[in-house]
Amino acid sequence: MKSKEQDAGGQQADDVKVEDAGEQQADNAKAEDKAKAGGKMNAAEEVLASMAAASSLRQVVGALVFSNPAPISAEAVRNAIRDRALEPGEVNPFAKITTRDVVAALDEIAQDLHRLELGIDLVEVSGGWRYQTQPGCGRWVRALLKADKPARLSKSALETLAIIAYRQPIARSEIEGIRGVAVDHVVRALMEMHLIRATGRSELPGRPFLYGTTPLFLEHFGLKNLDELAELDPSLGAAKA
Amino acid sequence: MASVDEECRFDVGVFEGPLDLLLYLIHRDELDIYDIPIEKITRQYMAYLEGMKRLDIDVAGEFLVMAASLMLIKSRTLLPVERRGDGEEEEEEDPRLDLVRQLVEYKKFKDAAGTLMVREAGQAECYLAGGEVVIADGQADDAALRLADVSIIDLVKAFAEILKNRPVAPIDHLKPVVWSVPEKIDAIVKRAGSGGTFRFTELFDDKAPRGEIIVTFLALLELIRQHKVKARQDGEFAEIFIEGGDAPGGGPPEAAAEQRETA
Repeated sequence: MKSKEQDAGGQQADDVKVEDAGEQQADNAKAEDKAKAGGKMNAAEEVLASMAAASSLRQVVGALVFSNPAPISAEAVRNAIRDRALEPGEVNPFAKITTRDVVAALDEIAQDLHRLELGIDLVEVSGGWRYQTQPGCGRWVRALLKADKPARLSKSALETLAIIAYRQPIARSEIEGIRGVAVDHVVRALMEMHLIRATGRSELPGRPFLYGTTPLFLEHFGLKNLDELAELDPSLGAAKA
Repeated sequence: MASVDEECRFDVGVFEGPLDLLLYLIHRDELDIYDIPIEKITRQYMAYLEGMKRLDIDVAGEFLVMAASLMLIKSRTLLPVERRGDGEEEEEEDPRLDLVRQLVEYKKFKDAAGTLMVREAGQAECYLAGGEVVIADGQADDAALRLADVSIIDLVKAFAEILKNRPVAPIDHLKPVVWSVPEKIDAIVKRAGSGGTFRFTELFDDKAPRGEIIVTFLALLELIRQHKVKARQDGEFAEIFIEGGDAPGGGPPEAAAEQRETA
């Protein structure tokens, strides 16, 4: 839905970005001066001052992550900020930001939140960012919500998941070969929980399904991506002859 | 052997499979996984299966297959090493090698599952704005996946606790059987019906003789198996509660009726 005009506007904004940001700051500074000089701003002036467009990328990034209902990737944050449709005459101070800028801002917020001990963390899971309460506060949160401890996965479910996570795509028979027990029931239940999914079919006779983990798997265990899985114990090498 | 008996009475069944049980035995006796004393491990493995049978737990087929392979390996290690004519000893493959490979591979993933469990425990303490829990929770209410469910082992342990405090009645003369499972099933259903909940321990009258307690327990197991009642335990070592199950219909369970007919 981007018109040519807006494109042009964006282009223009690129050129004048620095000046514009300067102006914005000047505006804010004026409001502050006024507050100091006149003693107090009245309530309306305060609201107006707070509504001046945010000038720091951190502010905007933090707001987007907070308001998005699901974890949001740094790219999605960048696109939303960079490509916002502008009002006539408006320039976008963030027209040139990169994903790396966004990630830097996210990292800063995460560190500040942690340092200030505010009870919430900004975390990256499954390729997206979200706010969540700190683990040490869980018992109090549950007391407030009158909630029980959430149900956790059984040993057999965790073992099956571990094998699938490290060896995906993998057929059921291969999982059974490693665990030494039948896993059809567990695999079906894990599918229903959307922690695993069928990712294809094997070339083996009967063309059995191959299974892999889902993004929800990463969320469940608080993993950024599959690379974050700990390395399998290397001291357990191949069996000595 | 008595101590092994005691031990295996309740521990068996918590193992995820034959490999899990073998790893436990190896770890317990601090054995070298690459140099398993096959004779010893086979003996202990069989003792555990024996314990399982005593508990009347169906020994899963996988456990029996492993028992057979252990015996096969054992017999092969007993065979004399064949010597070639040229005097050089044949590089006979260690008959244990396949088993060792399998155990090592399984152990890797068992450890990885342990790491996942710790991660999950941390995540289970985190909440989103609005109070939603971070981990995937309650989407599949599948008994096979849930840790919180009371296992047969927990029930048997709780039952053993109750039996322990009960003196064995001296046998003066043999009495006919006074209690029947169907009767007890009816009694429990009546109690748990219409959303009733009661403590596991309340099920057993303080003065009830052992025979009656055992029959009551069997009735409870039958009802759980049929999903007519549920056993719930809110935390480790916490009290076990029995509550009415999902099965529709408040009347006496079919199985009870069937059993009465055949009795």
